[in-house]
Amino acid sequence: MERDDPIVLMRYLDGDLDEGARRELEARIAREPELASELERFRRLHDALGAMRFDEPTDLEWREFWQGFYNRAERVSGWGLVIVGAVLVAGYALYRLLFDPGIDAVLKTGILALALGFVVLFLSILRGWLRVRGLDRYRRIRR
Amino acid sequence: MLSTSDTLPGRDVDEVLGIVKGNAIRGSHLGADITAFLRNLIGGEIEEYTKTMAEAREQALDRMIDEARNARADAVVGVRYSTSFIAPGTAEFFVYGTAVRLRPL
Repeated sequence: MERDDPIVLMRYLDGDLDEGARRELEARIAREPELASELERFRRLHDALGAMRFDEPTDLEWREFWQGFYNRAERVSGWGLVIVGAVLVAGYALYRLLFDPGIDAVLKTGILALALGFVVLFLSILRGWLRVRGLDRYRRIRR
Repeated sequence: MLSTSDTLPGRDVDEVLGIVKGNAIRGSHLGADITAFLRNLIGGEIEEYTKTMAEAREQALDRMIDEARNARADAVVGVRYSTSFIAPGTAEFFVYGTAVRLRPL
């Protein structure tokens, strides 16, 4: 056995050796029982790895995973904190906008009109979405 | 019948009816975008976007099939998929092919 033999044997099993190298190795395998035995070990490993299948978790397994106590607790607490933070920041911004004497009245009116316009447009889109939501047969597709 | 190949083995095309196509652009909601952003920090599959892409793909395909049915086609050959970027968090799928009428067996 030589130092590079394991690599050469792996390349042989993968069919990566050129014709000359393949013939040379096969001649050595016929002469050297130790090399032949090593090739047989590699072949078993190669076949075992080739036969391995990695199954994806089923939908039921995923559902059970996400419905576990810790996952649900993390999600609920995480989203709860995000929502509380967003409401506080938005509320504070609105308070500063309304009551800060340093902000010009025209700018205040403009920002409020802009924000209100977005809210009205959003509610309009939301209303349309809620109306067709039940008819959207693609919502249940997962992958 | 749908096929990505230009011919159907064992069947002859009697008439080419023309191109049929369907497209769909679907988005994910803000919550899904935030979750996807967090998943992207770690790596691996971003299920929220897998779902959005799959929804758009199936909707676009169904629209193409509807167009083919309206043309009274027996099959659509040379089916191709195409995607494009419209906006972050959205998926556009465009599906097209050639609607054909097949010679009766």
